[in-house]
Amino acid sequence: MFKVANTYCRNAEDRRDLRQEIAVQLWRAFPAYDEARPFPTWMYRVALNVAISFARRAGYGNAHSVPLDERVAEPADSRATIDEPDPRVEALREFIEQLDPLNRALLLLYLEDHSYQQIADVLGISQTNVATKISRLKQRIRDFVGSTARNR
Amino acid sequence: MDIDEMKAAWKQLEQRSEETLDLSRRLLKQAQLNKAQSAMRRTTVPPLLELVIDVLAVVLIGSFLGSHIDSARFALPAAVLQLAAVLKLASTVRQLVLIRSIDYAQPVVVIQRELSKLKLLRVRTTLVTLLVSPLLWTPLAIVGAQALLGVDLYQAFGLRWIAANLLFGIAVIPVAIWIARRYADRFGSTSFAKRLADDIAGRSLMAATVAIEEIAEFETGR
Repeated sequence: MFKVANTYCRNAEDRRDLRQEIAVQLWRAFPAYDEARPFPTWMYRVALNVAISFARRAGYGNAHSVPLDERVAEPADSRATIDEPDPRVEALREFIEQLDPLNRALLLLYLEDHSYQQIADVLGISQTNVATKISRLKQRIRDFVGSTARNR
Repeated sequence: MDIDEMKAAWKQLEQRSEETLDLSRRLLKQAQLNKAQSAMRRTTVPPLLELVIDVLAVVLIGSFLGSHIDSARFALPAAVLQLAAVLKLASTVRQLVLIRSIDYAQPVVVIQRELSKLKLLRVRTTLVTLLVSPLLWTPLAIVGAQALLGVDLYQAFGLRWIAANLLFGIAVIPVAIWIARRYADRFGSTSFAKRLADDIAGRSLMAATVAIEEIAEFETGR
């Protein structure tokens, strides 16, 4: 839930709101959960549907960048130490912020090590489509990292 | 730096996130869910209110139409209003049916397509309602004055007044679109006025159409 919220929201308050909204929808949807089906697939479907709707409502296209300090400061447990941001994760986040909500969901599931079949089940597209899209995303990431490195 | 390195770093991030799970559990327990619940109420309550208003309008106008059916001067404007009210009611019922059919546990593409259709329907309904309103003002005035005050506007102001109002209504529509397109950005990013301006200017319609195209492209793998 934290990762889904972090993938779709730009600031800490939005992330908190989104986590609450996901939690409420999970509770509401749970009575209809079919135990014969895998729990993670069900949970990701609910969480991603809520997150994508949230992002569209907030106008994800208006601005994609997140102030770095906001990301580093979250989650704000007073006891937690704030680690130096990993440049690889930062680059990945910058790339994710450029994607539309559906491709963000796809990349998030890929990064979370889900199989193509699981990704296809969560998103409702074919496995072949998943494979094609992931291959394109990998190419786009390579291009993005290359152009970012040239600009720095 | 390649994708596998990035993926490994992402997984490490997950391990660090595990350390904050206790925090997340506390957060969920203490969550003040008011905001989330009010966001959901915003989706269902307005169409329910609209439904009540639409049914009331259909009943009241229908009753007026029934009692003035033999008088074309009142029956005609009442019939125009009744047609608009019935169409509005049909759209509201369709919105409510769509809202009730949304199950967030369905695959992402399916639900996002349903939500986009719902948004498109809402935007189209608002756009048509706002644009047709200036034209409906004259029949509404004729019916309202007769039903509530017993005043016959044909006799009180004459046909010229009625014709002038109809023409004014037609002229208002392009002016409203022009103002909305030109000044929508000045209403702030979240205000109700900005949303209305975006609806009139056709920006909301464009955004909803783009979202549906985006989903179709994602689904087909283009």
